[in-house]
Amino acid sequence: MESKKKLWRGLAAFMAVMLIMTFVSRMVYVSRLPRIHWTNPTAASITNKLSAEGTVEVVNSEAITGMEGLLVKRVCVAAGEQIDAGTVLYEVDTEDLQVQLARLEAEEQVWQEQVSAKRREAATEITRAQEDYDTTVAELDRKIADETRLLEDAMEDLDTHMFRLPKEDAPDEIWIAWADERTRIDREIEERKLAIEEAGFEKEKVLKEAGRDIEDAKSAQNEVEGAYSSNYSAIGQVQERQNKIETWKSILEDEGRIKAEQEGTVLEVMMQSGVRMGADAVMRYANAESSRIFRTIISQEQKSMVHTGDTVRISFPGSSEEVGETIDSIVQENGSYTVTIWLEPDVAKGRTEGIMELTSTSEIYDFVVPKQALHNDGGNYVYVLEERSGILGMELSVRSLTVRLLNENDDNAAIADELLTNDMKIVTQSDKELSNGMAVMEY
Amino acid sequence: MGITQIISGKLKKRKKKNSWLATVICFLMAFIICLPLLMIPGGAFADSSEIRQMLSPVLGEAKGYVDWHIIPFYPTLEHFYRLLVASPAFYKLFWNTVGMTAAILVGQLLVGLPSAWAFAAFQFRGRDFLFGLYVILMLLPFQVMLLPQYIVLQKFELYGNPAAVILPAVFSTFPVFIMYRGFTQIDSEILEAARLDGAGEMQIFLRIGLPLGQMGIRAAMVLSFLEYWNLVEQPMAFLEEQKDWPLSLYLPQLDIAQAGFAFAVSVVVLIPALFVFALGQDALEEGITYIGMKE
Repeated sequence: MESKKKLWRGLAAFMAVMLIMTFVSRMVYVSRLPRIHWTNPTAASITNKLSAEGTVEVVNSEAITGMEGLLVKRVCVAAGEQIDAGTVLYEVDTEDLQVQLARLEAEEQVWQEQVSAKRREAATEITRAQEDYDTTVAELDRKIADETRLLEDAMEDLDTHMFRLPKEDAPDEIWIAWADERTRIDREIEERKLAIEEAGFEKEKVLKEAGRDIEDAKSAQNEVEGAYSSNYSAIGQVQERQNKIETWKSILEDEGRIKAEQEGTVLEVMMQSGVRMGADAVMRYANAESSRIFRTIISQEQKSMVHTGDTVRISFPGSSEEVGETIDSIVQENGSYTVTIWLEPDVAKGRTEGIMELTSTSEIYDFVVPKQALHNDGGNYVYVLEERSGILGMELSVRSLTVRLLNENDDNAAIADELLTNDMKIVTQSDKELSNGMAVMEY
Repeated sequence: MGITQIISGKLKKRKKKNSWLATVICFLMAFIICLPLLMIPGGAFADSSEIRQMLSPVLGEAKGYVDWHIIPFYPTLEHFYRLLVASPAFYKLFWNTVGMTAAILVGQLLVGLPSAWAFAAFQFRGRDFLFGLYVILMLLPFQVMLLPQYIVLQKFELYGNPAAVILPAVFSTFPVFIMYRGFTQIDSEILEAARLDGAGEMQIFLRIGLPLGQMGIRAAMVLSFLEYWNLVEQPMAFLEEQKDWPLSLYLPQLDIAQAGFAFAVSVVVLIPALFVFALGQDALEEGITYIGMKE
């Protein structure tokens, strides 16, 4: 009997535990249920507001080249700043400038001295060659004159000898002596003629050699001059150095200040204090006549909202300026689209960035739901709230419904599907991730 | 020692030997019969992956035979935790079963007790025919009665309602038969004496019939409990909505991936049945002897 009581107590305890655990499991189950908000799809239009950040670019902007080799002491302007002619753009270190200028002038002086020495040497060579030429020619002329005089003497001797022709009956000895004399005189005349001819040849030869020496000397001189006249890079370097010296001197006189030559807008500053400048541009600026364009990149989805010729509003950060402009071109590039808008000359002066905005309202769609109701997992779908009968009785559950996305903005999405109706309960918000068939609770 | 004594001694030895052999065979058969029961706790405490590994030959994932671990290699309370803490559906069906079984037992007492007492205590025309009809109805399997019951339930617009399971069970003839057998054990002279002393029929039923026939009543209730606690076919045939199901339909919903969970369910489901069996074991044994009694 006692054991029966124990059994009854055991059974009662078991049932009590089951009752308690029924509540516990219910509580656990409910605590794990996602809590959701829902809404009915409504007929509405979608207002699309396209906003795209872009850049204002200056067409034909000008570059200010740095003073190569000089040390920047202070940059006096910033990008976007309006400048006038004479505005100080930056300052260079004058002490460093003096050192650099001295070095440059020393280089110039050395170069000048080297050129002068070479020129002097070439001129001496020419003079020497000319003197050698003149001396040689004089000697040969004298020699030819001497031989000519001797030839003339021989010719007179011959004439005189001919007058001394013996009589026909003169003895043979006289005739033989006369003939011998005649032969001697003829030989002397021939010798003198030959000497004169040789002297002429010698003179001609000497003249040629002396002329060559002169030419060589002149060539040497020309080379010295040509080394600077025909070598453009050398000329450029020298001129550059000389120009640099002139420029640096003027900068030094102006206490290291570099000033703008004309009015405009600083677009970009590529220099900083304490850095020695190179030959590259250190600033870019737009003058008053420069044109400006606004460029922005939009996505494939945004492309459907804008077309060439559409009027858009462009505002500029940090400014109250806002203009309405027309889209000039939309060009596809690497999967995105570049929108280009030419701005009026007096628009966006000093601006480097802008925001393009376009608002458009669509047709009225039958089913519009909040954007957060739309899910995407390769395809678009929404969760529809339904009642279902299960072991626990009637409970709320969600069913995924694949839909076509017709249009959307940041807040709403227009969807379509044959199964959609306006009395469907579309889940808009859940505190847990949902899946198809999941039981849920309403907030 | 006479020859009679020698023969008697040998017969005793053979009898003793046969008795020992019979005991061994009985234990062996009992073990085989109880084997599924022994597998249940092992499965309930085994890790899911271990169960899958053990059942891999059944699932066609491995060759050979199932190597069942009576004591799991990787015991876990994971299935019990999930069942007891995170399965409100289990409790819903548990209480459905409790309610359904309780309603049936109460109904059987209300309907069956008077019937059984009438058959046992009164002699009236057509009694034997009516009792024979009860016995025939008791012998008919559920499959035979399915269509008529379905038609009747449709007519009364009870199909899909828990009453579609409860009412046919309330009017079951089997408990009447068992209780009738219990009441027939009461000596008719006692009843006659009570009548002579002026006791009314209701007094005799309440004061004599119920106390003296309680073993039959308890046996009928225990047997009915065990039958309706594990009811499968009737709910499956007559109940449409899951929320009305008894626990016995919960297990078929679990697939092989939830085998461990199913074993845990089996363990918990067994507990009330074991309690009831233990509480009514004596009555049950007596009730079974009633079944074998001749009229």
